[in-house]
Amino acid sequence: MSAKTSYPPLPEDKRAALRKAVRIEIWTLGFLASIVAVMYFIMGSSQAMKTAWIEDLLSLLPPSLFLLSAWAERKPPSERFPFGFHRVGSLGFFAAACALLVMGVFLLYESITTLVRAEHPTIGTVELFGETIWLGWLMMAGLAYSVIPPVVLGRMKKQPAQNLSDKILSTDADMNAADWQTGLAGIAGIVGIGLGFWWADAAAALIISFSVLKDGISNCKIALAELLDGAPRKLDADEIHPVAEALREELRLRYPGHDVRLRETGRFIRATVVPSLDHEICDELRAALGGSDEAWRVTEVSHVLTDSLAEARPKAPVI
Amino acid sequence: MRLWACLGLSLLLPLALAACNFPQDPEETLDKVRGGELVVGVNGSSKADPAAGLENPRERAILTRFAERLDARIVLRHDEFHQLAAALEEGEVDLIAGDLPETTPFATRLGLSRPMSETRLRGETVKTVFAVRKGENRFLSLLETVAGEVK
Repeated sequence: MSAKTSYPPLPEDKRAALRKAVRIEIWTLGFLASIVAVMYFIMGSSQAMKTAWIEDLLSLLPPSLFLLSAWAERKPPSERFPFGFHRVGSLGFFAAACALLVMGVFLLYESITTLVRAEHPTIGTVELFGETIWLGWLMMAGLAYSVIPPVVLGRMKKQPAQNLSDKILSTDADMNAADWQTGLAGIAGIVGIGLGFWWADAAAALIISFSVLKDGISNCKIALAELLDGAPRKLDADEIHPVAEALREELRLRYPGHDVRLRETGRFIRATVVPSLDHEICDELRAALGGSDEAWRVTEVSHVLTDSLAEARPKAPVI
Repeated sequence: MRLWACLGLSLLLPLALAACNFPQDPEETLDKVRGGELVVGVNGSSKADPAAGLENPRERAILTRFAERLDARIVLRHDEFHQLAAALEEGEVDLIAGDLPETTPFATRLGLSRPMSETRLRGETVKTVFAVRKGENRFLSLLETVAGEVK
């Protein structure tokens, strides 16, 4: 991650934070892979365990997307991608938010159908070292293992996610939190089954699905805002980021008579300052394109101001 | 550190329960059978031979031992499979046996045991299982434990 290839060059402390986040996410992938493997062998025919397993599988997505976008966003702009690759982060965040939403919907559906059909989960025994033991014990052990790494790693991610303004990392931390909640619900459910309450784990899963759905929906809203060039949002709420508000005010003061538009590309904020009469530019340009079939598509021409240019700003816009 | 408290509690709770009888039957099949009748559903009708459909020697050995363990008398009930599955769901039959393949398409309606024996199905060797009423985990666990003891 040399400064040369990084676009734009990040401050040293941010680069260090990014390196740390990459390490945490690699650890996350390793642990999740081991959890997926363990759960696969003990899930038996239990629906609750299958749900927990699919959820663990889904939670592989955000760390992978984070690593992918952390690598791709550093690439310099090219002829084919003149704006660079910052929005890889936006796209990855949208996918991660969708994964969370899908997980919530899936959990809700599974638990409701189990309750409605009054499906009694059947859990038999396995032979382990010559002893016949109830598979439920193994499931509880497996679920307990599936709870601990996400709790630790999820908490480790919260701070770098804020520091780096990284929404994928933030979603991943949410997903890890959901992971440990479903893990605990799974354990509670199996204890319930052991006690003869067949509805126990479906009921636990139903409660948890609401919190997962809520996170999924709010993350999807933020991700959609970003993809639709909305003003920069907070990491965990669909509200405009205070930094963006301050920047907009400052730019309005500096360039009176101009529109200030802010948007987010991945973790970066972009500001566009355009003369308020931008539709006139369009007419001019349309006239210049004179009769071309494609002229109607030009809706805006923006002009990036630099400090030196701003001093001797010409009255008429330069195209 | 409410989070850690929750985590610790949920891990300790199952251990505390280990002393109790685990798992339980939601419909108490085991308690019902103990000292009474073990109603075994067998596919097909057989007026002539009362044991028809239950020829598999290992399955018979397991059932005999299981009934002994529960101090229960085996009662065979021959019927068409859909009738048996419905009766199992209602608790009128305690167990379905008789070369029931592991890959049975009825799997979602039955609580299947671990493989008990083997049989031939369309030229292939398949593992056979017993079916219990779904969720009767205590009954199933004891059945599987007994099966593990039968060589």
